[in-house]
Amino acid sequence: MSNKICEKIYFDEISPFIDGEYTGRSADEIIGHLKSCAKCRKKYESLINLKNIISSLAEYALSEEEKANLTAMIPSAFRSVRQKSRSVWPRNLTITLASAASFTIIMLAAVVVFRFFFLSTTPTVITSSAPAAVESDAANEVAKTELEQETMRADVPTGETAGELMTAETVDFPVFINEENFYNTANFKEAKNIIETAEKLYQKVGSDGSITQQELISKLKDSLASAQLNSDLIPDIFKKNIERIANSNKDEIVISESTENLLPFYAEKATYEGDNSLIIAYFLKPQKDLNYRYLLVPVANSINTGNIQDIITIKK
Amino acid sequence: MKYEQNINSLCDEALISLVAKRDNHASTELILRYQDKIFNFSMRFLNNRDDAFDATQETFLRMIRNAAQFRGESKFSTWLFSIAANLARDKIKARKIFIEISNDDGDNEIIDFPSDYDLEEAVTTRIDSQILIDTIGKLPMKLKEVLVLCDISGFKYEEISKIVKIPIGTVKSRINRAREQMLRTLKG
Repeated sequence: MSNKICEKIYFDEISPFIDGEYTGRSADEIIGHLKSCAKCRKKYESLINLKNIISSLAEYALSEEEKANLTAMIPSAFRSVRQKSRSVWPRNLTITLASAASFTIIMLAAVVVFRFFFLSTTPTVITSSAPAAVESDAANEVAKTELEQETMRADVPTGETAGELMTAETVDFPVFINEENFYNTANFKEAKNIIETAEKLYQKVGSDGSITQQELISKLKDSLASAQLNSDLIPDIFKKNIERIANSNKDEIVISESTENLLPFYAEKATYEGDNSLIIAYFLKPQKDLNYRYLLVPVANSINTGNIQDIITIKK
Repeated sequence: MKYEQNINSLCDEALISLVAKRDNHASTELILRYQDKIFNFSMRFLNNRDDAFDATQETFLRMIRNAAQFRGESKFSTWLFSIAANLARDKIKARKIFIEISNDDGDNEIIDFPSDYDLEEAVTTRIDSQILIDTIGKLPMKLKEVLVLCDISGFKYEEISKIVKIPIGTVKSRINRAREQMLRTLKG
């Protein structure tokens, strides 16, 4: 490969390549080059490691109080929509309250100045109704503001939630399937069949007890431990993840979103929605001349199912 | 009741159309679905919890107020993150903490790799996460936002292009530059 093409790949194409964004050159061409060019391969490994590390950073979590505050502001947000639609109102409630407060302060200041001026010059007519009326207006504004705030508090739903948001706690990387032509329909259908079988297997865990979840997981771990991943294009960090899964004592494997973000480059995602579970499988994209084992890792997504755990099966 | 029970099975786009009709439950569901993602994005971008929470809250306020303006021309998540990205950008500008080296706006940086530059050593698989966070934090704003959207929020280039409102080619080059800059910084 000419130096110009090498430079182009090195400077411009490896980064989008690891994001699964192919522009111009095909994946096969880039992979072929990476196999033959140590410099580019080093850069590729550095960038994929960097991406993996960034993606694996612990996610920041909102506190329960902060989450409650977010949903609690919905009524006031809707109220501000109504106010907006009247067009003569300020754009949002904050501005409304700020305006009301400013108006109140100005009016109170006016009363103080007026009284001071009036008392110091014509004390005998202080009982005039004019300042009292102004003060009354200001007090009304304060009361109005307080009433508005009280109404907001009253509108806040108590203990009302639409469900728990799933949070993935562990970051592990699965092993993938490799086939010559994953994208052809027959393979995809086969993949779907395997996923369906996996779900049926899983259901046996809960129904007839012919297989336990522990056995399922154990089967996975054995297969993973014996898997031969001999491609120099699988970065070490992923191999370590695979090892970690195989040696893990955990009974479930959860793929976090951050890890999932890495998958488009390495794997194609397929989903199968069963009666009570959503199973997601990842398949390694075919890479020419590489002799992978044929591995499949469907992972049940436990959103809204509660009792569905991860299922992993392997086909050789 | 049936409706309330099933609302979490609706797609985002269906929910936002309900929000436009002032549906409390749809709003709650969308907030629950995206609160952590938006907060995480804001935290990575702003590196300050109070600011990130404010930005998250304001994002959802704007989502509700502008729900009727969502036309379905892009995915809901793209639309929502474009609101969040705008707010995060505004907050950084307001704080004036963003320091651009030599007024570099991130678009014209020339990457020069010395011949002995060992990229393999530049990034090991174990980097102190705080160092990494600091390194991301020091990136120019324009590079940081595309990197965070790509590597942390998981958007494709086309979606990032819509969120940040720049051409896909610019997304690609900015992500590339962000990574190069990080590698160099991490190498020290």
